[in-house]
Amino acid sequence: MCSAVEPLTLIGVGSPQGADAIGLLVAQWLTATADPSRLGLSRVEALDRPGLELLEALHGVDALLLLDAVADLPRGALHLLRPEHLAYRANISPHTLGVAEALALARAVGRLPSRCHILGIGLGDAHPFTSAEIVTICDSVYALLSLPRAAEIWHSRDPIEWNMTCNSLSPKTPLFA
Amino acid sequence: MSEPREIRIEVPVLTRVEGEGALDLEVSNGQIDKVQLRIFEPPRYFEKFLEGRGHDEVLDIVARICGICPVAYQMSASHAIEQAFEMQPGPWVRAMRRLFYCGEWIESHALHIHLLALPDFLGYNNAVAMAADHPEAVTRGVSLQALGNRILRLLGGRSVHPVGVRIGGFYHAPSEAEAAELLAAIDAALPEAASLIGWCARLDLPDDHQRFTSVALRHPDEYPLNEGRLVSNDGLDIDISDYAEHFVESHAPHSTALHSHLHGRPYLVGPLARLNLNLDRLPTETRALLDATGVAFPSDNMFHSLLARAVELHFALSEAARLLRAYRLPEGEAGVTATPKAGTGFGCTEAPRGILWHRYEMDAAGKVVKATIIPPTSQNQPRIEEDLRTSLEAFGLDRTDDELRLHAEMVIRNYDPCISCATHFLRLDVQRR
Repeated sequence: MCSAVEPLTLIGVGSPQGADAIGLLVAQWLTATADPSRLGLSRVEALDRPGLELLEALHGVDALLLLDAVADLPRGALHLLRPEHLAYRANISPHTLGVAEALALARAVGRLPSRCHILGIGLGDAHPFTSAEIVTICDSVYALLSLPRAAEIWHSRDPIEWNMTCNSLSPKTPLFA
Repeated sequence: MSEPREIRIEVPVLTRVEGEGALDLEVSNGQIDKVQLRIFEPPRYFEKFLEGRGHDEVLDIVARICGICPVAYQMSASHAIEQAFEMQPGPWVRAMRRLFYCGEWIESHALHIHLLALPDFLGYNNAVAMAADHPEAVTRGVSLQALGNRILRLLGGRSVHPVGVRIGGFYHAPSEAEAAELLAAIDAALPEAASLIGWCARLDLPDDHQRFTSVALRHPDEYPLNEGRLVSNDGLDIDISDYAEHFVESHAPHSTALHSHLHGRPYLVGPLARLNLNLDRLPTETRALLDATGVAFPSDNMFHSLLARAVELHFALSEAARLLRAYRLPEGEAGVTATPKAGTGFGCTEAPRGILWHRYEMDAAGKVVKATIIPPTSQNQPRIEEDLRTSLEAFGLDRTDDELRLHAEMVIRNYDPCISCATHFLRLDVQRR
């Protein structure tokens, strides 16, 4: 359990089909199974392919943890990013409007939360996650949110030196340290 | 004045449009030799995919044609198949379909006005750069788009590729409490949509008057969404089932989208054409807001498309509010059960970008024998090329390549082309001797 100074909002995004659903599934699991308030979460939302609506969801949010699937990362890897790590296409079109573009627009209009992290979940070969894998990933995210240093990370306005990657599906890999 | 020169401009990938297209422009001796909007997205084969599919699968399949206007595809297909089955879904379904369509117009028009078109008119080359200087415009667009998506979720279950529609109606009726909650949000947004009309009219839009034919649906007493006759400002007035007798599609080598012509000529579909032909069908309040701008309609300035979108956005919000205020739960189910029979049906509805025409031949088991889908962007493609030729010559071919490229892109974006919708199966014409 963490002792958040300010409420933390967690938003899971993705598409309901295939491996890309993992961000949605973790957010739904946290709402249905865990007690978000015990993790210092004031609000948990699962947003299906929000596009620009992500900006609307950020209205009034001061501290954000965004969960999304990430290609080109090992399957089940958890990797912590900040918005400035994301490359975005400034010439936005509906076909190129992803999380990176929505956060770039949020920054431009002054709606990017002052404390904002993205927890990327590796897709590996992009096959849909099995039920067992989903449970393991949910447990790992829960454990991550329960770490004593977690609140310090989420509520820091400056980058904190941290081991940024772990693999939730590899039992030999420790969680973030 | 500088000497005529040879100009060859290629815009390999158009930005701020839906899908992938390119532009080729060749000029010599002060004349345009070639102007081609090249659509190179691969053919998508949806008409073939539909053959052999049951009526209960069609609406989920056609929704995948477009991520921005799935409702339009679902509505045109619903009307066509219900006509083939000789079904009448009744007034509750009719009203809710109109509400559903309003949601799509709101989200699509809000997106195009604020993020796709506006950078052109405020002098930015991308939306992120514009957002830093005009945050209030971007957040207004985002809020209005989100409201449109809420309407889609109310009836469709989700805003991207909605799943709540079936032949005969909907799978689920929203509760009266949900409808009341949404109505309150729409009522709160209406003043902003009203001010958007004047705001768009005050933008420094290019003064580009052209002669073109507008084509749209026209209903006896409503601004058209789902129903009406096909009319034009050149005297066309036909039933939608007579479409193929007047409009001809042909393949152009540079495009995977078929080109459509009306009596051999390009024509315009979409917000400007609709408004030009249906001014007297606007609600009183929306019409007053348009009249207060001092901009005369019908308009032959293609760049008034932006203003037409703002007018339609206000109309769609007002209409959604009217429908939600009158909302009651249906007696029984949220639709009627489909009763398949062999036959042919036609559907033509007003997608955000213009008329979307469907024809379905169904067998007695309710499976698709043959499907024809003609989306608005393929209908507008010859008009876009005609407009490019006229606009660039009026703009001045002695401009720099960058200026010509920017102006050409602005002309194309003004149509809000949905290139992914328009890509089409390549017809094969074999001649044997």
